Amino acid sequence: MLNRRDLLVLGGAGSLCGLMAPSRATTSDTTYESFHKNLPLKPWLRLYEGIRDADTGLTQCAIEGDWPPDLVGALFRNGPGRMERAGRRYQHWFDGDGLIQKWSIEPGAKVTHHARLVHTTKYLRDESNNELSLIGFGTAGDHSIDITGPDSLNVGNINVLARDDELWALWEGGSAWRVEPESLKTTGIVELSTESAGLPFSAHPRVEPNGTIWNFGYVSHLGALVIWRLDPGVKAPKISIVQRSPMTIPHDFVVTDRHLVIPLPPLHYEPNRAVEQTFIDMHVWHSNGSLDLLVMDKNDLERNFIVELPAHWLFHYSNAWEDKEGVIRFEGFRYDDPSLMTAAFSAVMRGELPQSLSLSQLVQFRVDTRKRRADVEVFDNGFAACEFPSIDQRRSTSRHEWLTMLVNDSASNSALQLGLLNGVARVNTSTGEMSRFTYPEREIPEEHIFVADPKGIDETEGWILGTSLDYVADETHLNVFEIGDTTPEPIARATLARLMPIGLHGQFVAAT
Amino acid sequence: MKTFVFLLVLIAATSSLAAELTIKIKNVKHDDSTIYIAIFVNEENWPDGEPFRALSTPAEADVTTVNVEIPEGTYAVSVYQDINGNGQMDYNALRMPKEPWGVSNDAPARFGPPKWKRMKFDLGAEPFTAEFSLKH
Repeated sequence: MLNRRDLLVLGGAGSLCGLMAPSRATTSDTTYESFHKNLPLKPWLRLYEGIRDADTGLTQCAIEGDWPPDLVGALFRNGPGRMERAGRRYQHWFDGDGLIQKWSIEPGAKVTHHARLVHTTKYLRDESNNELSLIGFGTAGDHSIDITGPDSLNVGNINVLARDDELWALWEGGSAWRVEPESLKTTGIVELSTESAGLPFSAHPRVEPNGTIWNFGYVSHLGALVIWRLDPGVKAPKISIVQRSPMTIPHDFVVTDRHLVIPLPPLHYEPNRAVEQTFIDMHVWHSNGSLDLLVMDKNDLERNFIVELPAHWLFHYSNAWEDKEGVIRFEGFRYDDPSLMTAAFSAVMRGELPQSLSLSQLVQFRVDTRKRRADVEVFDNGFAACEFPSIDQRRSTSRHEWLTMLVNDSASNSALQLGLLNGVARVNTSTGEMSRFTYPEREIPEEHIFVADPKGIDETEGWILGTSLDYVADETHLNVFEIGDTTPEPIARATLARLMPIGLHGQFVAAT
Repeated sequence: MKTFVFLLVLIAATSSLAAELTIKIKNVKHDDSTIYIAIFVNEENWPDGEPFRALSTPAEADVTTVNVEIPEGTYAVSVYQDINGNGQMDYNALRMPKEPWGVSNDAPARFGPPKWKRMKFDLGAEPFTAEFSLKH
């Protein structure tokens, strides 16, 4: 029979969604009404409007410039795609139903685009009922949904992971979804073993050069971090549980050849059961607290320690490497607070400008594992904001020099007012050497990634590949930059004559 | 076709009159396994204590029904379906149930076990059906 301990855990879904909150009558949806009142006045809001078709079908793209003959394969991207249905609208950008986009690049510079919503349990139920369940990361108000675990709310909308011949759509608080790489059809939840079934598999797994995948997940109300290790050719993952309280929202982590480092910003899980709260509202930012770096021995996770740094919020990290003296280095983008996530991405869903700018700095962390000390160095690059790091994945867990990232070059730039970025930069983390490209004001870049030249071995041999959204011309572009160009601009671009919703992360899978 | 399992229950001398309880389990997706049922008689025993009755029945898709005779009173029911036939509920590493389960009144499990007050029902002289669904 079920016992108390089991059922306490069963309630884990609640930690993601504020389920103790009372139901709120939803006779009208103020988010929906506010957004559509603002939409005709603010063209940039179209980035957050969302799509209505579950499957866009295959579209041939127009090509400009000289597409590199060796740049062949597929760029898979994920992000919140469907935002509203039947007069209801999600209250936070992160709650949109996952949309996988596939840019297929075939020999002869033939580029096609295809997008399909991830058919999660939640999506299928809403589709069947022609409604939008108002429950999620930053959305609340509807508790009619039957929740049997975190995956009841899993929208699979943050990232993708290509593993063997499979493609997984990743969320943060639940399982991965299996998606057919060819058709983008969702075929179900990834369950690799009974022990691991239903455990959270977050959206930024780290892949070692030998194919070993590391990841983590968090269960807030249990104060539990789940550590995953998937070895190549082995179906069942190795699972470890590390207790951590109070829990925070760790979005990303890093791996070296010897250690895992999970940065834990002081955004503590402190739910107030007496009032209605979304999951994100259950967290309290402690500006006088510490950014804790949880450092764990890869081979014995119980051998771990915490190094405290001044409070900062971070989403993403580059790649970590460890020298012979046991010093770990990795880059991240640090913010004074998490208001980009806690406020700005709710404001845009109402069609409002964020109340304040979310500025971020590129920093390098140095963690001395022997002396158990850490410090942070700021890269003085003059950017108002930086995000979305990418490195040559062949350097994963070992030393990298070059980092590709999105930037915003001015605090007065209109994109920053929207919580967005306006350019791409490539920086040498050792020398500070840098090149950058700024997009036209009406064109918003999404994550740009480094793609290695299959004929090359060095991290300077390859291309930068990234999408951009022209909300005036109603177009989505796939841009290619050549590495080493000191005054870079796209050497080629593919154009989809349709504006797609602004998304999050992706992965390039080279043709074999 | 539905299978009805009738259990003859010996009533202790101190118990009250027998009443007929039908347990109707819906959303049964597999019919090649066993459903284990626990009937609780008071709040103190839920969920850690011994159930008043424990029984099992072959699963029938889409609905499995069981009839029992027990004394009049206040009860709650919990069930799980033993999909892999190993005689126990399977869990993941965080002890989340990985086999279908359900409780009377479809009481929700949120930050803890379903509340007794949401699960309980009164069984009087008239036959009563406790109807709920398996959660997968």
